[in-house]
Amino acid sequence: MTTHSPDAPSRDVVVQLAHGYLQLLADDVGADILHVKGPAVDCALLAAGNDGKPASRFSTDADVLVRPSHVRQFVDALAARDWQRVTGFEQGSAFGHAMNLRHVQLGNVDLHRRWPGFEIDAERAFEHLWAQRGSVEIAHTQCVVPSVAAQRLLLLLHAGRSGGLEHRDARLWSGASDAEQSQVRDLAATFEASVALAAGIGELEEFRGHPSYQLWSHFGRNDVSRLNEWRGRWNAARGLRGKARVARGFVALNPDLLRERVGPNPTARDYVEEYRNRIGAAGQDLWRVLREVRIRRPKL
Amino acid sequence: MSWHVASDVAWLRTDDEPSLTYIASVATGTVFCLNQTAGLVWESADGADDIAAVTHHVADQMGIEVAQIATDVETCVDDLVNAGLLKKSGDLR
Repeated sequence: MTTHSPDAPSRDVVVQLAHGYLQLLADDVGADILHVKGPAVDCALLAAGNDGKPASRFSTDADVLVRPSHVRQFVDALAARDWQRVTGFEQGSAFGHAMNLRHVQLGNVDLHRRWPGFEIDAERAFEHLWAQRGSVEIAHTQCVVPSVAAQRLLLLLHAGRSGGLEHRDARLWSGASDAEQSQVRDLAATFEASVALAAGIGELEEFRGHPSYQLWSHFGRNDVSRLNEWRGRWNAARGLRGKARVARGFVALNPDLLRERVGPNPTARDYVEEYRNRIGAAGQDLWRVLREVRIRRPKL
Repeated sequence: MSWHVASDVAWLRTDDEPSLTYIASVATGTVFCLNQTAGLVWESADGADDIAAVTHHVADQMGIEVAQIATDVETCVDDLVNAGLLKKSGDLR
């Protein structure tokens, strides 16, 4: 009667199983993790479905935030259990916040070492979240989650870099009570995340002079210009190390993404092609910027 | 002696009809899929003291005679134990 995966489970089932599995593994290796997004979101934050009940949130992968000092041991534990790296931290996104791993049966996990928008030290940020943690049952496993207020903030920050007010989670602000909004603003101040929050709730213009403004403006508008993204990343980067990281990312190709596109062993030709594409895209971006400047210049 | 669900598995039963039970094992890194009957055995065995209790519960739920399924239930429980999904606790007697 016991069968071995004859029926491929739905994406929703896979994500729930992955959350449960990740919690059990974290418990086993002594790593602190917090489950975020998807099935980990508290009922109080779910939109009402057609039947008036809170509608489940679907996700394409399982998202967890790992205590930064536990990241290595947790990633090693996953690697030892056949999880394959898809993208590394530095290559995963403009914020360098998450790596992505894939398991043949349990799908993908987005493993966050910090949350984009938090500008305080990542370890301190995690400790703040951990101190107010709660739990939710996913796949018959008690999974550790941030407090409801912190979940609201995390989702609003995510909205801030995914279209801002256009994002479905912007309702978590517009639909919140004054007390809830005040609580979120206080939390954002604790995490030095006021700029990112402003991007999620339509107040970004109040931070026009802030170093992070351009980056959040770029993602809040779903701007496709890579040039604008890199300018934003450069401005937001703190200190010499931060700037150097951005400069390195600008010049170097992303080997993880290249492997995703062309297979596990890119050839020299693939690299040349990728560089050519990048230079072409940068040229188009530059041309577009120059045209915009010309249009804006008053005619003499 | 009794059985209990292994502590290192995450699992869920789908709402479909017939339902499926999916079990992710940390120990083996494998996702198992149980059909509706096996899923019923799995849930019935959790905390049960002996195979007769499991069989009676499954027969009740399925609305059939115990004799019709006794052998299959015993085999299924053995399979689940061998896969590490059910654990035997110490002999209680």
